[in-house]
Amino acid sequence: MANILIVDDSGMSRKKLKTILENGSHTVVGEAQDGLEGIEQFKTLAPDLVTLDVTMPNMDGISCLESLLAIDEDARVVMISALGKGDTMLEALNLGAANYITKPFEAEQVLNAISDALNMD
Amino acid sequence: MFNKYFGNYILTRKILTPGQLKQVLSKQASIRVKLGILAIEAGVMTSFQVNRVHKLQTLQDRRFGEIAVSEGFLTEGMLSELLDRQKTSQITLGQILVDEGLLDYGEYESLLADYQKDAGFSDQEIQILKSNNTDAIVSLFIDMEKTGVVKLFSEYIELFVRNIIRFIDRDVIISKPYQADTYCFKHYAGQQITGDHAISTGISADDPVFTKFASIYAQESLTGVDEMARDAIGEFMNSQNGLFVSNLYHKNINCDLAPQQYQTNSTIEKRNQLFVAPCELSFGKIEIVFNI
Repeated sequence: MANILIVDDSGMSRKKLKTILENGSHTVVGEAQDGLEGIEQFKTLAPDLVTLDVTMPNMDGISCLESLLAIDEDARVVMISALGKGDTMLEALNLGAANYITKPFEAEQVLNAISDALNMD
Repeated sequence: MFNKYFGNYILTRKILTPGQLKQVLSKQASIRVKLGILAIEAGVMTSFQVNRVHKLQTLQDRRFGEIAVSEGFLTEGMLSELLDRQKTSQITLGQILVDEGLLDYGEYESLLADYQKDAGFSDQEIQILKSNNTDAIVSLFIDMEKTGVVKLFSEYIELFVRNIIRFIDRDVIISKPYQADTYCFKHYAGQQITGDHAISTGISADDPVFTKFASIYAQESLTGVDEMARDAIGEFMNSQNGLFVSNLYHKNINCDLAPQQYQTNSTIEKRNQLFVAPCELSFGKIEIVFNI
């Protein structure tokens, strides 16, 4: 199972995600409240996978995704956002996100997306 | 939904006490015929398929019937038949009032006519109210000239009411929205929509209602307007606006969202038009703000 970093400005979403991930036998190694914090924690924690919100203060998820992939081009990132419009989803996937889930999410959906991302070549 | 509006009218007329109405509505809830139940009874869907559709409804802003058809569980023809049957089962409040001996048939008929007259509904409008079509009912209450901005506001409120029904409270009653130059609030969770439309959206309520709303959405018991409560309502707004922006995108209108913000004891000034839509929930009143 994987070491995962959660990046989301919503405490409620982080809490819900953490419960889902831990129930799925993953380990949540860090939680960040915006893109800037996410990058710092990514550098120090070297997680196997990052769940990344899009709409956040200070640095949004798309900018954060670009930075994470600049640090590690093989970074596995699953976007989890309420913003489900096509151009944002395509932009994230074209940049290199492994998957994109829209909120509100369910446990099965999150765990499947993470499993798929971890098993990508 | 007609039963809720009519029930509210019955209280206003003091024909029943709140306790009596609650008793009646609890009986009504127990016999309310849902589309899924109708589908099972008609033998056109299995309970597994119904459960599957209910599960998908928590993830998608779509009605039971739409999902059932797209999943291949129902044909359009079957859905149409079920919807017809469901409409005929929307008289339960009146039926129970009569069955319980709280009103006789004559009093019920007269009360319905009074309601239509006092609320100022035409025959066509009262049929819309009885149709159980949330979007049409919301549109009915937005009694404003249908400019482009009012249409946008109407779509926003229709989606909002559907989300309240999905996530918070089936017993929502919308009142007539109004426009204002300024708006004062106690607790306010807001979010800016940016891009082709610049709109400040938000939800306001007093302490107990804000807390209860947040508790239901967060699915945990909260005791006051703390960080988790603020966060939960912010996330509700984020989900609402995420869907709204996605719907706009399908019409080639490109918008984005700013991070949600919480404010307390403050005032909002009108941009070009400031709309406020009051909504009565079973645990109190909220107001939806749409400042464009």
